[in-house]
Amino acid sequence: MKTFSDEGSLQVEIQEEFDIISARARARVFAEALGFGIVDQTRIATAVSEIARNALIHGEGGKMILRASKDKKGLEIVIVDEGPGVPDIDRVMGHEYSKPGGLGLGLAGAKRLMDEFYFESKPGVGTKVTMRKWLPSGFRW
Amino acid sequence: MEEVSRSSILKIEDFLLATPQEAMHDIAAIRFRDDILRRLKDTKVNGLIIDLSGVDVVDSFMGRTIGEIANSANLIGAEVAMIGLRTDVAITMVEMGISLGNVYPLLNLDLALKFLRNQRRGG
Repeated sequence: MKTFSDEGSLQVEIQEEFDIISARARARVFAEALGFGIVDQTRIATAVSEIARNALIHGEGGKMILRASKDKKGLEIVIVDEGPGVPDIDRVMGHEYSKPGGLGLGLAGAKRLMDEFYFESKPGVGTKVTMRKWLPSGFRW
Repeated sequence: MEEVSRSSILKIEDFLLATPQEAMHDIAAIRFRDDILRRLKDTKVNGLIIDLSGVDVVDSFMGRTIGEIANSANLIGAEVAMIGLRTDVAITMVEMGISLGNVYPLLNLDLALKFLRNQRRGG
């Protein structure tokens, strides 16, 4: 399901495996429309793939919101779930979870691909990941 | 949602050419892995070429699955060559720190076939 709001944002539900594919395809198209080149499109689609999968597997599903950033020129992606949450983000991003298949490898990888990355999680409430990618300087809309 | 798989596994010379479809979700990726390993056993070929030209995202899960295909194929006696990785995907993989295990990356199908002919196990 997707809905366009007044601000030109796009919402994608993440409730099953195939939604991960939809989410990253939507993010790629959105990024392309904003003027991102092919490498940035792939970085963005890959980061979305990682975080959407986390929301599905560890967060019992959630949703992604794409929007053009208001302050600087770029793309903002928010992925939220209402799952059990993660008690200790430092452990998740650190060595313990960063084994193949662990939560950490995907999170740390997604963080490296984006310009800004914020991870908020409250046990019993859910998890919210906010990621931003800036267009190359000198880019004009 | 049920998708029609466009992934293919074809025999070429004494080798298998495996081409995953563009948008493969996790369950399809695991099914593809199992299909390849079964075909390697059944056809008794001794080499595998993975063609990633249709894959626009290799995230940690996809990277791990390709690595598992390569390492398992290696263990049952097949060398593994990889072709067709897009440059934007390669850049993203390097930045993320994703590696693919025992695969031998080559520029094109001709080179992959040449490589595998020279790697043949058991003469």
